[in-house]
Amino acid sequence: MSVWTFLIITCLFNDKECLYFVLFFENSNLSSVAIKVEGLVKIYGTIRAVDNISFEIKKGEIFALLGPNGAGKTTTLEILQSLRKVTKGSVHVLGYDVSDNQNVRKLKKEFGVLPQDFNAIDKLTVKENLSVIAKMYDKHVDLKQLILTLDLEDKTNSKFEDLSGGLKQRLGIAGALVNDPKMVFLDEPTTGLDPRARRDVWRVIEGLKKEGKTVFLTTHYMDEAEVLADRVAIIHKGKIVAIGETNALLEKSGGGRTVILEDVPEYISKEIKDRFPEAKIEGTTVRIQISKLKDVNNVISYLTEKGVEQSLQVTRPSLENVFLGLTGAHLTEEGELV
Amino acid sequence: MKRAIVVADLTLRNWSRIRSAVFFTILFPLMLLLIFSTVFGGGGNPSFSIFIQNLDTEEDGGPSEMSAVFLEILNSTEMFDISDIPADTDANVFAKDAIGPLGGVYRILIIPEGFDSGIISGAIGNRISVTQSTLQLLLQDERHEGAPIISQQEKEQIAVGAAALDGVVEEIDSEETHLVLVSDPSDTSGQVVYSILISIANSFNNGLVGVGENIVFDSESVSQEAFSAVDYYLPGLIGAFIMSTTVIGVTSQNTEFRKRGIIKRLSLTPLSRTEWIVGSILAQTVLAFVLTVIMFAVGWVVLGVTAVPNLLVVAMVIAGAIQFSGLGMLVAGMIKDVESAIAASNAIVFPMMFLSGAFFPLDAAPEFIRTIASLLPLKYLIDGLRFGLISGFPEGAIINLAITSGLAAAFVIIGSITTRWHEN
Repeated sequence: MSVWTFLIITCLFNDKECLYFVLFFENSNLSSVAIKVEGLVKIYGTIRAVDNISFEIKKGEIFALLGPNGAGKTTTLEILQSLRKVTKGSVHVLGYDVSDNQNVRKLKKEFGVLPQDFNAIDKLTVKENLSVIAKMYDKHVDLKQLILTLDLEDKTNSKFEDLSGGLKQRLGIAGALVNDPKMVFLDEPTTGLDPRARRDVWRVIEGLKKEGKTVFLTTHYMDEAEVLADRVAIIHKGKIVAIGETNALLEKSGGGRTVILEDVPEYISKEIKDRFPEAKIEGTTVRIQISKLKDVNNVISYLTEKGVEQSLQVTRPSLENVFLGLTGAHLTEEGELV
Repeated sequence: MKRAIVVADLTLRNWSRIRSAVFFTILFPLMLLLIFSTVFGGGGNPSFSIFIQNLDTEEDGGPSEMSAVFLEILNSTEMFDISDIPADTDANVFAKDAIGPLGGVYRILIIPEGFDSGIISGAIGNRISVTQSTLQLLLQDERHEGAPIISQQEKEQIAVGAAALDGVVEEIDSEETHLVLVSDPSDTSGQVVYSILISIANSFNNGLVGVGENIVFDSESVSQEAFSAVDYYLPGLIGAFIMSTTVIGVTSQNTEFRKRGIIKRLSLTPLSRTEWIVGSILAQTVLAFVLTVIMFAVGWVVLGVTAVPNLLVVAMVIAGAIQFSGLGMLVAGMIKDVESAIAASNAIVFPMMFLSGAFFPLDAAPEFIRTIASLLPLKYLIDGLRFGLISGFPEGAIINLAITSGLAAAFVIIGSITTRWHEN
């Protein structure tokens, strides 16, 4: 039972005015919830692309929906954007029910979107493409300032077809911000970009959080979700298999930290394995999984006692570990499960 | 409406920066207009190449009197580019050598030996035959109104004269004289040349017998203005290229923008599907006007076009652009792949261009082609433009405008239904 349901029931038994207040507060933008999804199901023919998922996104947070290709990320996102119809369940974005057609146009004025594989009109310039999107809204931000913010001023008069992948994505993000939206949807914002361009885009996304915008991000890059997201939901085969604050997820499902020793002689490897049965030996590399940070001391004491002077590295848990633990599979760079 | 104008603006900007689009929308129609006006509107008669071998010669080798007269008539028509074949050579060999290895028009008219004497005896025989027929009419008991009153004595004298003519006829050899036209089966103009030669031979025969031209045609126009040949081709070209520009333009933009996610991106703004459709139609209508204005400007300045568009023509251009935008939307809505959709629109556009009378008059086409043409929307646009521009029948333009407007509404409705905005 959600907090709002509890309050409504409480008010029903107590005070009518209280009920009106609670209902108004829940449905208004004053609510701290930007997105509320309950029991969402999306079926295409016989395929359940999204299978009974529920989650909430708070205003001002960066929320990442992480999962492999075909997991249901984009379908979920497009339902939130009212591009696709809901099969079952309820979806509210910024207080609007996306299934109600009368809300769609109002809602579109309040969010910005960077679609997957963003493209603009090849023969138009950066400024012209941005202007096309801006003119679709009743009000828009100052385009010169927006171009400056996205660091695109040198390319203002360049045609879209002449831009690099990173610059195209930045233009896409500029397009998502042109109406000064409360909510920004970014679908796979760094797919296909080189590492430098990815970091550039990350900086822009981090800037959105500082401006207080709510960001809904879908990605198959673990590091992207880890670096950017306040909260993460992992979606697999249409179901959310884990959801929570990023750090909490790492602590809870990441399998702890790992002590890594390299160039370890074989006889010492065997001794370490005897002492720490969970240790994994790969050639001359030994990996010891530890659940708590203080366990590192035990490992160091043991190694010192044995006179081992090899360099030692401690890694924190990653979303990759979380994903592996939950799904039993790795995610490739291309977003495929292996 | 503001957003529809933005869509039209982006469409026109995008179009203006794609060289091939500008070429096929403006320059290609202009090139065709210039070619058509040069080929069909030059003012001169067509000139058919023909070899002539005159076998009817005098002792000195010169042409006989009658064959010389016939050749003079042939020349005076200014429709033939004549090459002579000497009488003592094999005509076929001579013609093949003259045409050469690259080929050419193989067409030989042979004037046979005895042409002169045959023509003269035939002419005398014909004249006597006409006189005999006239005398027989006079001898009839039944008198036609206006005929002279002939006494019985006069009739007897006429009967004696007629009997004497019978004897003369028996002595005259009045067999037909045969001209021979040898042609290649691949000669596409062969039938036309054959018809012209028959016409000349008939005139020649009539002249010999002394029959005057009792029926003479005077050409008058229902229009008050005088138009040149290019005036007649202009409406066809404008109609055809409004269609091709619009159908291919809408199809390629819709399919390419959809494939590249641009329509999806725009659908995530407050832009509605109706605004997108109206904007696309608006852009195509502007392009149709640009094409029409440029075609007329070049026509007026360079080609001596005299037709001036009136409000009916303006309305036809608008209705045509809307109609074919709707057809473009329908094609783009039904075929998702860019290349396939453009191929499909070409498959619709080009046959329609040739079957709707854009480049040649449908009167000369077989019945089944005219039936097919009557089912094609382009025919009504072209007919409407022709009626509006060069005909003295504004009613014709109004009827065609009504048909085109009706089709425009139908195509836009069906095209809108197939234009998807949101996914299911």
